[in-house]
Amino acid sequence: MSGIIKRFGPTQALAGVDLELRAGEVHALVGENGAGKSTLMKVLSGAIRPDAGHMTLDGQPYAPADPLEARRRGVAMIYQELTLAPHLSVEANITLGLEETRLGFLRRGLHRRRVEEALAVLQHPEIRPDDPVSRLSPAAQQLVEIARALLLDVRVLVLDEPTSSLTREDAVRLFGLIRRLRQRGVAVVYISHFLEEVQEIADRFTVLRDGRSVGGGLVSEFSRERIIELMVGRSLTEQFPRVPHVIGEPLLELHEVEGLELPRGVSLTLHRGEILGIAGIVGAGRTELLRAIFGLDPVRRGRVIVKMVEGSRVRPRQRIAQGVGLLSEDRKAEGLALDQSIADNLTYSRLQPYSRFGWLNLRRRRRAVEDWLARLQVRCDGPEQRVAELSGGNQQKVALGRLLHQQADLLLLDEPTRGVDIGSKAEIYRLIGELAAQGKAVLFVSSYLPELLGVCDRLAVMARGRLSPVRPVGEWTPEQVMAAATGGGDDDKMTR
Amino acid sequence: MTHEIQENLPEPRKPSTEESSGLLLSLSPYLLVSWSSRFFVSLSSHLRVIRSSRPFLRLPALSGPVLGLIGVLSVFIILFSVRGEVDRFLSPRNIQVLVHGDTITAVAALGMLLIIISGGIDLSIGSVVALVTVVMMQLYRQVYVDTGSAVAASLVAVPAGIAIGGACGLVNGLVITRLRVAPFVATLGMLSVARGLAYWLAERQTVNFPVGARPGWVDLLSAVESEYTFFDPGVWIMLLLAGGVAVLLRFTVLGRYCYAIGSNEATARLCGVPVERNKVVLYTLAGLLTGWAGVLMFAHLGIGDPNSARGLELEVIAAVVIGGASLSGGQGTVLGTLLGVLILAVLKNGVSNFDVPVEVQYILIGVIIIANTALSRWQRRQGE
Repeated sequence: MSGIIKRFGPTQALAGVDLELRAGEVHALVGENGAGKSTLMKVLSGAIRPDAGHMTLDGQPYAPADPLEARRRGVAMIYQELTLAPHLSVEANITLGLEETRLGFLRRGLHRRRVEEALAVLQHPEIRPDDPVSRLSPAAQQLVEIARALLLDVRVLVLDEPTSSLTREDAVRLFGLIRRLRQRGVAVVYISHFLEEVQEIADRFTVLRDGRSVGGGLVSEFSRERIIELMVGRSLTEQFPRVPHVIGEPLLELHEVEGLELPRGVSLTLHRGEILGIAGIVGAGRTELLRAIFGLDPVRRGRVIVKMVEGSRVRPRQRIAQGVGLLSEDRKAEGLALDQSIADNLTYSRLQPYSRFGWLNLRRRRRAVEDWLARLQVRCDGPEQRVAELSGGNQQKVALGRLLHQQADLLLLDEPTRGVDIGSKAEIYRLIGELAAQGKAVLFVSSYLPELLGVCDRLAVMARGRLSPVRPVGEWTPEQVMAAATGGGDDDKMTR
Repeated sequence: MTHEIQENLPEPRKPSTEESSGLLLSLSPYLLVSWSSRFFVSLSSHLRVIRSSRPFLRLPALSGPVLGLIGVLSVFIILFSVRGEVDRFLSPRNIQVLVHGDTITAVAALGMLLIIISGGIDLSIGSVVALVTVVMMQLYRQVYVDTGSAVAASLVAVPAGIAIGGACGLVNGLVITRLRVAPFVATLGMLSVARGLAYWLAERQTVNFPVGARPGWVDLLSAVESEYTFFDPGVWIMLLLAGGVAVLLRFTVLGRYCYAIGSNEATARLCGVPVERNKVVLYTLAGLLTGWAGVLMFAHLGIGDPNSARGLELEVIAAVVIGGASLSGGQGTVLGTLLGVLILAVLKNGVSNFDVPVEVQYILIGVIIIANTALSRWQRRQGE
């Protein structure tokens, strides 16, 4: 693969990536969240088409139109979220899309032979072709996905975070399988946040950062620290406008808070005028923590104290009344009602100023919304425009604006700059600084380390549901954060 | 099934007067609502969509339901012109017949609109209407026998009929939110339960007024024409209710929440909207409207009939969808819904006046639902 470029609207996900895979090697692809790993692999497996660049496979030009063509050429991808049909049997899942027919009838005997061959490679006799997939463990389901790839003569196998839902024992067995595939001459691409796994299984590696390939080589020739340096990058290219702010009394206190699965025993204190960052990889439990504080998810154990009032069984409505606001990480699925107007989306959480006995004063609301749009510098046609028609950055301003409109002074921001162009990012950073200067408290969750280091006063790292001690941001180096986010925790895996 | 639609549709009789200027007059009540609220909003939003589309795909700035109505009307006007019967088709008498016959559908569609905007569905409407007619007649008979007063009997039966509808809606809402049953399944259950109750209470036969006890308001509501107001009072009450629902959707917190819940329930929860409570309220309101539809059915039929209104829910859903609402929620207007009802009414009336077999109605209705939805989806794609 060389010179691969892919844009999504204003964001450039891949800005020219080169990648070379050799037969019979395990090649690790590492980088921070949003570095472009998944996008690159979607290009390779035919799920999306690149805007520029070209690929060759075994010396032949390779430009798959869709994942099925990629599979037929021998390139298969195993996604982090499994893509099996739970009600169908193992055999039906493996042959799905590749059914052989004679006169319109399935050739069941042929299917069975091929599926058994593929399953034999796995060396997991407990997976039988007739079992429904929903009865299998996550680890076994993943193996079924790999078997699906084996049905066709696989040349390149991409594994995206394959161990994230596995126990250590299952992970070791998976590594055994990967080594057997390597011996058969398959090129395995291994995407992982866990560098110790990379060092255990991979031969070579490539580092992606901001959509570019910034380095790589033989895993054995690089120390873990050196790889982290490549991932984080030395220079902070973006501007983080610093707004001076004073830290006041505590607004939010957590004591040993546990959710249903995540988080696990989180304690922290957040003060007025403070921006507290939480770093970590996707799936560490940061979103779950914010949702538990906000009352969207249950708190199983521990104490949540907001403005000196304790309560762990509250609803979002009560939290909003207390002055808490949550910005969802998923703008499209949760954050905004895309079909509805800007005015509606901005005011849903606080219609009281415009309503009397349930009746709305639309003219007053329209005037207020126009004021807000000017303050937030949202580029739009007017308050009645559908939110779906706005750019990502302007959508995010509307979503953030809702928290300001509902007069939240404890803001839980989950990935506030995701899918936002660089110009809007800087505006959002400035806004967050101004909010802190007004005496509001911000809990800032992000997977993009430079912005956390640039914006926050204090920082903690979450890994597998547990939160590191909170320390002033000056006492963290990027390498320490990465190490805390990706290191250790194997014992936790065992117990889960 | 076939004879049902014919039953709901009063037989067009010979026109009494030979005026053809009645068409605009008949449309005016429908447009009244539009001018009061959403018409210009929906029109201007369509203007914007079309402005941003590629030039060669420009369409006249009309929303799908309006286009559909114009299309259906012009087809029949041309067909009847060829036969020289256009005067009959557009006569005031025929327009009265047409509008009168679909009042029940329109009232029920208003309730269905609330539910569909909030992302739900109600399959129980037909059965609930039948149950309402039976309960009303049984109560009417009981009170009439006890007191001998048609007024007292009516004063008991009508509120009870509306309340029964509201109660069924409330149960639907509670089953959906408390037991977390999907709306499709919950109301499918209610469909069967209400129909069963209706048969039980009616002892498997139609229930009639006691001899000589038919109250005057029933004649008033079931009359096709009205001396001073052109349409019968049922039509005017329906238009008032339509105005009420339009105002509810646009000018109340509940209305805003209704769109929010249907558009994205997760967002509504995030914004602290009490989703469950609002759903229960919406299903109950829709139930009350269904109850009123049942009262109208009671009056139109003049009996309590456990077998009535079979398949009404499908006709109502079709009207709402033709009117531009999305079954995935978050979209829909009162004006569009009324236009949807009117399109179906014109279609049924035209077909039956044209001596075409009634089967053709069904086929045409199906084609129109699909064409209309495909058209509006295509328009949306152009806008994006």
